Amino acid sequence: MRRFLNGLASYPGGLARSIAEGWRRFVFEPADPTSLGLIRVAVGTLLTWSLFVYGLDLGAYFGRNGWMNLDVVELFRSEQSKYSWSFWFYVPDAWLRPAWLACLAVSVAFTLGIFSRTTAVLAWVIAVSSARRAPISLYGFDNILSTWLLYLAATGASGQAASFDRFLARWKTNRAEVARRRKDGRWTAPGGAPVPTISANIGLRLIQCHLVLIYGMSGLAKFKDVGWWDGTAIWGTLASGEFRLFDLTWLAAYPLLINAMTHGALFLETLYPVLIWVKPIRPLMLAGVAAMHLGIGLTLGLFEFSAAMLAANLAFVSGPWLRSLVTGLEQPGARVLYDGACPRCRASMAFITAGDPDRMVDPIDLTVVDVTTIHPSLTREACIQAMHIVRHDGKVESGYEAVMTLLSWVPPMKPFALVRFVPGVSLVGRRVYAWVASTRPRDGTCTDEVCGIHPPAGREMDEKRPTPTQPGKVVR
Amino acid sequence: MINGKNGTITPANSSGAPWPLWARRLATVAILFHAAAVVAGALGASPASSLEHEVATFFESYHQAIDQGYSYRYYSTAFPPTPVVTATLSFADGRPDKVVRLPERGLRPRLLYQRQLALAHGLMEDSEAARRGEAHDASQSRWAHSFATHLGKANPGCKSVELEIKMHLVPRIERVRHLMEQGDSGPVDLDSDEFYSDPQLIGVFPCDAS
Repeated sequence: MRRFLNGLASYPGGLARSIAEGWRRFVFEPADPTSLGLIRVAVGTLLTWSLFVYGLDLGAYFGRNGWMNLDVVELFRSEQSKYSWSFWFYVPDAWLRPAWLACLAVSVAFTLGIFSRTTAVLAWVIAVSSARRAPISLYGFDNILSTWLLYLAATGASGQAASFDRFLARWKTNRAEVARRRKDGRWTAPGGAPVPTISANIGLRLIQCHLVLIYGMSGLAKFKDVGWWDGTAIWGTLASGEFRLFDLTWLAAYPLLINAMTHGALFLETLYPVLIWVKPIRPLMLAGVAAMHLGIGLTLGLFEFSAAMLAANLAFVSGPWLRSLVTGLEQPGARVLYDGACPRCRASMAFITAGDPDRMVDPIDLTVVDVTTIHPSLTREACIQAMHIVRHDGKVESGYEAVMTLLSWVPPMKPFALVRFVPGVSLVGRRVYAWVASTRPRDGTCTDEVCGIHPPAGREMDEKRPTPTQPGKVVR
Repeated sequence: MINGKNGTITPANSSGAPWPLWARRLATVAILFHAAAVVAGALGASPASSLEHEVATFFESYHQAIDQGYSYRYYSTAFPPTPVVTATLSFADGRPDKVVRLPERGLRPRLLYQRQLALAHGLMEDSEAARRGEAHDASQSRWAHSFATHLGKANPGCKSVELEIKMHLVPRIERVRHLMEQGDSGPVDLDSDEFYSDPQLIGVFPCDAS
């Protein structure tokens, strides 16, 4: 009896400690911010698109005498929602276009991750203001967008990965690091994997829990309608005259398929809140909701809503796995032989490694290594003439081709790598590369603001040679 | 780096450093308050118990301030008919009437079309509310006045705007099967008159915004 009473008395304390520990692990453990960064990119793109579309008929949506007359909006607001707000209420019609352009600029900056913390808050303000100014032009997409933006703004963590902010920070660090080259010619640029943070974890947890609530509520609410029980509810989405993108009425001949789609959607929404937390089943649930949102997009044309929901589902995808989609599983992807005595080359390497998602590039200063140890086919003279990369599979590329390969690997620079497919670009590119390489400054101390890299004291002898030096004439 | 005690990864830079106790407590209070508000908003929408409604009301100002409190009960009933608004504009100078359909068929990009669908839905709800109101008059709808004013301003010379609303119905599956069985191999015409309800007049509004 005494043991029973003791157990009973100690239970609340044990429960409280257990909950506190569980809460700490759930909320306050650092998490990889890669997913959050990608959610920012997706949500920012959707906000930019939404603003752009408003801009196609700006006066009709935000103008004083648009569909939603400002006086009427204010009247509804004072009656039903007096704590709501919008800066659009104070923008006169003559200033609508400049204000819209400013919003668009902020939204693009947020998408790219420029001043991420500030632009995340501003992006949320823009989304909420736009929703409040045009209250009856909204649908699920706007609610969802506003919610994700709230979490990205509140946690301030969305720029910790896949952002211009991070690129600049890494570039700055790498410029300092490259100036402190180690004796073996390699320098330790910080890895591309972003540092796990608590703020990123909180952002991801908020999005995850909100997603669970959305699917759960949407699923539970469906149980009250007979169409979701008799398996016909999906028919309405297939045969809606106003929403349809394609003629899907032929599916009426396949009632069992309609039943399966109806039951599948219901089961998915009601089971998602539980099964998404079970790691082995998570990929199945994510594949299921991806299929469901693709279906919603194709049948109802709700592409933006579907995209916003899919973007949020990234919160359940592991950051390292997402990065491995870009980097592959083998690291480093390639060793890059660059001229460490050339300030421009050092600055370029610092720039490229700043965008490296996860040690795809291993930079090696060719002036302090025997290049044949990197690859037997390499010669010092050839390497001085042009940058060389030795890929993981042993393939060697040099000059313009090497630059293009590097650009195609590093996500922020991929667009620049696409130009090589334009006819004639390769021809010009090779010549430009040869000219740049042959006229590059060497052996002088870098003093300009562009490279900003100053050689360490131990390397001064190597740096104090006449400039410029002809390719192939470097003497150690 | 690896923490020797428990093998967990400890971030090397300050942004990944553990938070002080006060910060964790503050964040916990904020997160729990927000979570309670979001759940209350989702549960408080009709149908809801008095308790759920009361709790949702408690968070109402918070919901309004941060644009939350949504119910997320998407398509909880089988897909409903879609309201279609027709505005017929008459001109004082004898020009032929101009008909504006909301949503405008073929409007691109699709998001603009979705916004017009929402506008038509908003007008339907408000005009229904006005019809059920004390005056039993759909023309008392404030959104109807707003739409008419906008159309009047956007079409100089306009004398009056007549607003009508009708529902684009979802055909019953049996009816579609029957039409398919009738032998015509073409697709079923969802824009056929039989799939629209009779139009209901919301009101006729002068174009001078009165």
